[in-house]
Amino acid sequence: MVEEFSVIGKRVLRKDDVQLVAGRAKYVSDMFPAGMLYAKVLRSPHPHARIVGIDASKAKALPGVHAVLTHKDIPQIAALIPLGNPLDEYVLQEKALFVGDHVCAVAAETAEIAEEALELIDVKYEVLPAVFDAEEAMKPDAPKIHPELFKTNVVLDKPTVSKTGDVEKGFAEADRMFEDIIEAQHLPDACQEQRVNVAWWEYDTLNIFISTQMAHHVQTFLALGLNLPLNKVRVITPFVGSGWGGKLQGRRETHHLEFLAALFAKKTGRPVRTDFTREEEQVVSGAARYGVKHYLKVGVKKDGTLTAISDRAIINTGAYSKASQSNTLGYWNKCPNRLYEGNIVYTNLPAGGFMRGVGNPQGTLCVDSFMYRVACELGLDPLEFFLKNRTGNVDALVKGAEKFGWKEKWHKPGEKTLPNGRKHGVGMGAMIGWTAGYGSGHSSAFVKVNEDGTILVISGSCDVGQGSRTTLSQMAAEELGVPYEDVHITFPDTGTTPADRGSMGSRQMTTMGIAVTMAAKDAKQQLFENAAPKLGVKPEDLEAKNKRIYVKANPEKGISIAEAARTPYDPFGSTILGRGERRDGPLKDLIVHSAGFAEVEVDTETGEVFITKLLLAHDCGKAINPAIVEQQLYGGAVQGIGLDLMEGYVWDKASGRTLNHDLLEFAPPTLLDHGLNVEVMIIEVPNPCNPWGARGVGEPPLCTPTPAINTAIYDAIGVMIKQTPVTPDKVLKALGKVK
Amino acid sequence: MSSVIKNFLHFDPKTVSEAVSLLGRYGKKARIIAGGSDLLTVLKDRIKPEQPEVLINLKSIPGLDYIKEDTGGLKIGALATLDDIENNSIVKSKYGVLAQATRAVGVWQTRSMGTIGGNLCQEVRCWYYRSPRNFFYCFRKGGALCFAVGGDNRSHAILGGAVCFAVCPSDMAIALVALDASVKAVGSGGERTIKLSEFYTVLATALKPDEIVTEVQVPALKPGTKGTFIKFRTRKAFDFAIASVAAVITTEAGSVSDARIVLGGVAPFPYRATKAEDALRGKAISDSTAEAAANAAVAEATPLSMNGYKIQVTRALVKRAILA
Repeated sequence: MVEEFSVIGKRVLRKDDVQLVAGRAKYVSDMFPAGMLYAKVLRSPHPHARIVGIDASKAKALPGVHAVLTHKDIPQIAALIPLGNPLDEYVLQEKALFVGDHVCAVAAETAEIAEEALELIDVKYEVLPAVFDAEEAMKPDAPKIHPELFKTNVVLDKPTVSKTGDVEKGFAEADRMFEDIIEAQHLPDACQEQRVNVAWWEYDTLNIFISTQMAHHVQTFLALGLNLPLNKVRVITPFVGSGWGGKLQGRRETHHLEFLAALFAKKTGRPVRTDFTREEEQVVSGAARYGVKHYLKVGVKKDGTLTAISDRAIINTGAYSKASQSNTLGYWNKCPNRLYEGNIVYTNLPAGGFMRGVGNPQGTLCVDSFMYRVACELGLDPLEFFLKNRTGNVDALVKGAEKFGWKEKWHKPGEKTLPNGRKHGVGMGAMIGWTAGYGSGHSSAFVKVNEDGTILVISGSCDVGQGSRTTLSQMAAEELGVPYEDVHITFPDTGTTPADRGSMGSRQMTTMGIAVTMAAKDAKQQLFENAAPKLGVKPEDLEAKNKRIYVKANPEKGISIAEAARTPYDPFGSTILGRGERRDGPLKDLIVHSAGFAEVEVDTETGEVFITKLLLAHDCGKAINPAIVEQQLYGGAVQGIGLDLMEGYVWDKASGRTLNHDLLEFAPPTLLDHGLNVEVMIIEVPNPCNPWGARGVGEPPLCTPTPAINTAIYDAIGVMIKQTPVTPDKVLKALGKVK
Repeated sequence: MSSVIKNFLHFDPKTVSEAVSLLGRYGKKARIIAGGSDLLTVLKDRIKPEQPEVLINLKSIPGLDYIKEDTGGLKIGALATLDDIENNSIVKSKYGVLAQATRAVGVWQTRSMGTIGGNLCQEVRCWYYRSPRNFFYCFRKGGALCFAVGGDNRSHAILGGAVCFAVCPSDMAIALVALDASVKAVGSGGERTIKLSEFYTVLATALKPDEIVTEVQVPALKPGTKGTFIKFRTRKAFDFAIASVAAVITTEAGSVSDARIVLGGVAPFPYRATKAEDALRGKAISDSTAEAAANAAVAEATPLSMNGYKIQVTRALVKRAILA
C-alpha cells in the first residue's frame, strides 16, 4: 500500500536555512551577556605528571583577575557520566595524563587578562614516565596511567570478548588461512564551532548556554556533579555548529569546561564563558576518534565460504576510558565461528571518544579491507565474496553495485593501467548500523496547537546540523494535517522542553521522531474532542488535513484547525497540548545497511590518489526529507575521503605534544579534494516499527567510504596499505619506490 | 591556551625611509607587517620566546603596490598582493610561471591579503618551530637542537638542511629564483639589490636588521623561453608544498640553451638543481633527457627518517615540469 503524504518525504527547506545563509543564526559563540568573565584553562606541558604544587598568587594579584580554581579549591567532581565506564577523570585533579590535560583555571575580565594570568601561575610538576603506543602500554613494565583503578593499562584489566561458535574448529575446517594487521588512525573531530559555554546564576538556579548534542544530559550531570536539584539547572542550546560526537559532554574530555563555567560563575557572581581555541580543539580532542589496530585472521574454503574469523583489537583510549569497541564481525553473519577480543588501553594521549560512528568506521575499514584482499587472493570477485558471507538486507550492496557498474569495472588487483599512465582501481565496503538501539535513552516531546491553528513543537532535540528541527517539524505537520510552514519548533531548554537523551547514535529520527509524532497524535485527539460536539459527531469520526478538522464520511463538513483549538469561553489562548514519548527499551528494525563503492586513479610516480567516483548507497527506512538524507550521505562521503587519504592526529613521539594543532596542518578536505565526484543513492526499506517507516542516518554514512577508497587503492596498485591515512609516502612505499 | 596577541605599538609610516628609521630605532623589538597573513598567526600562537613590541605597517606607504614592465623586465612593488599578480595581464601573458606559482599559494582569501614582499619573507612552516608558546625551543629560535631530526620530519628538507631542516615555504620564491629575479632592499645604509638565489640561508634571509624589501625585479625572458611551476601537496588547496618545482627553459634550434630548475618544499631555500640544468643543456628535450635531469636533480638528496618519499615525488615533478 502506498500512503500519500503531503509533508513526509518532501524536500522542504530546512527550518534554519535562511538564518544560516544570512549569517543570522546565533550560536553560543555569539553570546556575550553583560558583565561576562572569560575563563581560561592552564594545560599540562607534560604527558604524565603529578601536580605537586600550584602557586597562583601572582595570577590572583593581576588586575582584572576574579578567581583562580585548582583541584584544592573544589570538591572532586567526576568529569564523566557514570554509565558503566570507570570514574577515571575529575574536573580538576592532581594528575595530568596527556599534553594539554587541564591543570587549573582563571576567570578574568578579558580573555587577554586570563591568558596573561595563566602565564603567571607557577606549577610544580613531578614528571612521570609516559607511554603513547597502546601495545607498549600493555607490556608489564609500562608506566601505569590509572594505578588507583587498575593493575594494568587495559581498562577493567581485561579485554571484552564476544564469541560465536568455535573459531579453532572453524580454522581446522578451512582450506586456506589469511592473517593481517590493519590500523585506523586517531583523529580530532574538528568541530566547526569550537566547544563553548556561558554560565550564570539567578539566585539558586544555574543557567548555562552550551554548544552540545545533549542538553538534557548536561542538565543531569551538572546537577549530579554540583549536588543541585534538577529543577535548579537550566541548560539552553541554540544553534550548534556540529558535534561529531565531540559534544557528548559527559562522555568526552571536554567535560571540565561547563563545570568550570558554573563554578566560576558561582564564585564571582558574574556570567562566565569557557571555550576552546582551535588549538585546544585539536590538542585536547586530538584523538576524539580513537585509533584501533586490528589483528585479523580468517579461515576460508576454496569457494570463498568463511569458516572462522578472529579479530583482536587494540584500542588506544588515551588518558581516559572514553573509547568503545570496534567490533564489526557481526556483518559477516553467515560465518558460524567468530571471535572478537577488544582491549581498550590507556596511554598518555588525549582521550578517545564517540566520533561519528564510534568504533564502526574503524572496524569496517580494517575488516572490509582485509576481506577484500582475501577474496582477491582466492581469485574471487569481492562483491560475490561479500554476498556469500553476509545475510539479511544486502540491498545496498546489490543495488549500489549495479548503479556503480561493479561487474564492468572490477578487475584483479594491479591489472589496469589507464592511458594517462595512472593505475585504475575500484573498491567497496559495506556496513550494518544500529541506529538508536537499546540503551539509547528516552525522548519525549510536547506539541502545542495555538488558537490561530499554528503548531509549536516543544522538543529538546539538539540540531547539530543533521536537520532534526526540520524533519521533526515535518512529522508534526503530517500528523496534524497542516502545512510545514505552520509548524515551529523550539531549541532545547531544559526549563521547558521535556527529556531527550541527545543527538547521538542516529537516534533522533527513531526516538524523538516517535515522541513528536505521538505528541502530535495526542494533540490531534484533543482537537477532535473539541471539534466533535461542534460538528455533532464522535471524535473517532474525524480526520485532520489541509488545516481542517472534518468528518471522514463527509469531508465538506468541518471546521478549521484554529476553530477546533479554541474553546467557546475564551477566544484567546488554546489548551491543546499533546504529549508523546519514546521510552528506552529493546527496539526492532533499527538496523540500516550501507555500501560504498569507489573508483580511483593512482599516480604511481607521486603516490597521489584521485577519486574519480565515490558512490554511497544507503538504507534509511522511509526518507522523511530526501534532501537531508542526501546531505548526510554527501557529508559522510567527503568526511570519509579526509579520513582515508588526508587526516590524522600527529603527535611528537618524544614529548607527546600535538604537532598538527591547526586546520592548516590537520588538513580536512576541500571541494578540490573530492572533485564533486560523489554520488549518493537512497534505498528505502521502510521500518515497520516507526510511524513513518524511518530509520536514522546520522552516523552510518561515515563507515563505508573509507574501506571503499582503501580497497580501490589496493585494486589499483595490488598492495594493501595497512594504515590510514593513505598518504603519498605510504603509496610510494607500497610500490617499492621509497625505502 | 593562547589565542590573543600581546599588546604592541603600531606605526603607520608614510615613506620607506620613515619605516627604515623606525626599524633602526626599535631593532629586534620590531616586526614589519603588510598583509599580516603570516605574521598574525605567528603572534597569536606566540611561537617565539619573545613577542614583538612594535609593528611597523607598510600598507600605509603609498605607491608600493605597482606591477609594471620596462626594458629591463618586470618590476613588482613589495605591497602588490598575490591576487594582483595572479590577475595581472603582463604576468599572465609573459611570465606564466609566476602566475602559476601565485595561483598555487594558499586560497583566494589569503592571496588577497598577502603581499609579494610578505610572501618572500614569511616564516617557515615547520610544526616544531610553529608549535604555540615556544613549546619546542629549537635551534632556529636560539635553542640547542632541531626537533625534526629525531622527530616527525615528513615535511622537512631532503636537500641543503643543516642544523635546521625546515623548508622554504614560499611558492613565489621558487618561481622567482627560476626567473633569476632579484629583490631591492632599502636600509639605513641605502639601497641594494640582492639576487633572490642568494636571499635565503638555512636560518634567515640576507636582509640586514634594518632593511626592508621594496621591490621584486624579474629580468625579461629570452625568446624561446618557457616556464612551468608544479606544486605537490596533501590538500589540493590551502596547503604548503610537500615538493614543488619551477622550470624555466630556453630552447634554441631544438636544443636547450639555458635552463633554471628550482625545487621548493625540499630545502631550507629555493634549491637550484644545477646538475639537472647541466644534464639538460645542449640537449633536445625528450622523455629520456627529462628523466636524466630529474634523476640528477635529486642525486644529492639525503633524506631524514620519514621524508624519503620526497625524493621520488620531486623526481617525478621535475620530469613533468621539463616535459610540460
